[in-house]
Amino acid sequence: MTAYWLIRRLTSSILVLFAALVINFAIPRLMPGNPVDRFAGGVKLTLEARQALMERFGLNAPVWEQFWRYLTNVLRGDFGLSFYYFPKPVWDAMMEALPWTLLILITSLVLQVIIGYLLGATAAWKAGTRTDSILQTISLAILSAPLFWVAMVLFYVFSFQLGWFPFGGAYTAGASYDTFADQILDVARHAALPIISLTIAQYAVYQLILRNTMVAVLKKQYILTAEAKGLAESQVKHRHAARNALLPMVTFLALSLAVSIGGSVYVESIFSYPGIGKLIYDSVMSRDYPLLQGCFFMFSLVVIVGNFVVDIAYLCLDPRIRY
Amino acid sequence: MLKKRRLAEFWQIYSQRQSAVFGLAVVASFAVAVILAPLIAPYDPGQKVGAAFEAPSWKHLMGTNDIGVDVLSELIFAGRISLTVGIIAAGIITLAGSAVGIVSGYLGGVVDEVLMRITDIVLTLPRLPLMLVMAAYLGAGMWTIIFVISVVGWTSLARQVRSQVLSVRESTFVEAARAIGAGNAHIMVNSILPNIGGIIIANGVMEIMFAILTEAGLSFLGLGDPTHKSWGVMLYFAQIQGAFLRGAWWWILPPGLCIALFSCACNFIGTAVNDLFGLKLGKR
Repeated sequence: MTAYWLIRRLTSSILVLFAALVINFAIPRLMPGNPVDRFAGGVKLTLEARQALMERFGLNAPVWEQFWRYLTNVLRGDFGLSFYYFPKPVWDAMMEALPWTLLILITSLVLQVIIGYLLGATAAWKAGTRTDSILQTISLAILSAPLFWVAMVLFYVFSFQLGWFPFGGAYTAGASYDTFADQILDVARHAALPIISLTIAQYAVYQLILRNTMVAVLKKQYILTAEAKGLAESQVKHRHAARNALLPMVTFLALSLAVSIGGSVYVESIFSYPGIGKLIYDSVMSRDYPLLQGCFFMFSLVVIVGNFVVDIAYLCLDPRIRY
Repeated sequence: MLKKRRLAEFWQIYSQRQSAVFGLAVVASFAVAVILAPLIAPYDPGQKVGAAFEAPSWKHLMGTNDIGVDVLSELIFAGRISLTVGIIAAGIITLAGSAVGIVSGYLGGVVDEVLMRITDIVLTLPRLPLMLVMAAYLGAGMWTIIFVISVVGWTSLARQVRSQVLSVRESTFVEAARAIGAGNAHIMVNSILPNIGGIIIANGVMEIMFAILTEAGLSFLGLGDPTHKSWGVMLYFAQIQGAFLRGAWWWILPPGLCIALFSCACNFIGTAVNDLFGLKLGKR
């Protein structure tokens, strides 16, 4: 049964991945303008030069043949050469950036869940009181503000005015570290504000979700039983109430990953953090189409893998679900 | 007559909610401000009226920007663009999302399967990168932004409408309509749509929030129209001209606060309308 579910789940992941590839392949061909002219970047081409380039890029071949070549290239990790960093391959540029993005993404996701859990459980436990309404109001206000603007303000206050954090980069360029701990600290200082911004942008959703589910759980009879047994407040709160309200939070993890990836584009460009988000921003700015498409594919891959992992986690967490 | 009384009843419950009234008041004042922009704005946002980076004063309540334009005036006129983009994009999303949701939910079968697969794919792919890819090829501008927001935005509404339609579809009045020989299109428009109108309105208002926030983000990344400045385009210029590094907080705080206040207001209204219709459905 589980094996059957796993195969179905994998099939749908591959389908989405395939869709991302089709979109990547189709968009440049559907949109106005000629790819050869885009490559030339405004330089006027002679008819012969244009023909030669069309031939060179294989654009004269039938569409299905082009698609097949594109597909096999991608599977070999060949996304072409970046226009902006010419002649660097897109793949190399992405591989340099990916670890940094994963660092801030994963750290922030963990923080979002922890903070959202703690505040959400508190709000639910004190539902209807002043604490509850203050927590709710703050999270609504945060969700209404654009993330990039929050990041700009954080940059201004903590990097520019107070000087607590560096102005950009992932580590101090050309620094030599005495110990490994120094190096970790340096990387952490650079990643701190990007992580905090991403966390602020999303923790509130977890808080709201957990609060609403847990308020319903708190009305259940077994909570009354637990209290009547004389269990400590924290026992009832965390082991009986919050635990049974966790599943909707897990469901949201997948969606939150996709939102945080969008957030990383803003955050990394504001803090000049050298991840995929910054790369995609630079590629939009410089109209570096191969790099832009490579990054889109890479982000899609991260989301699809993330969704898959969340679904497996869901399966492990909820003993009632058997596929 | 009946409609009028129901509207009055609706308003009576609605006005008991502080947040809902607050939301409506905010939206109304923004609407008045941007419609009357030429009368309210103290200066012409296209003119240099002071020195560069002037701090707020009685002459310039929100200071001036890098080229000596009055920030308050620019802010009011930028609201026009932001609100226009937000409302048009939200309108398209609402129309497309409801259409897909109703057709998919009512017809079921292969149509449903195909439409929901497409919805899932668009919902799963990372939104912002997908919008960036499309926008980069289309070129910066207001209509590009409206287009890409609409292309990725309709999915969650379609899902919600579909699930509502699934329950309405089974009700007796739909069966009755079918029994007297009404066609599918007729039933979808005349029997199904009126019964899920509330949910659609509530979600449509929330989509304005989504559209305004997304427009701001895309414009901030340089995809807006520099000749038609929205709040997001203002922040884009503030960022590339190093407003913060010059200490010009008055150029950066107001547009962000306007976006936050307006989207918060839309959220309050949407939640209230959603709850009200939920309440009514529950009572039946």
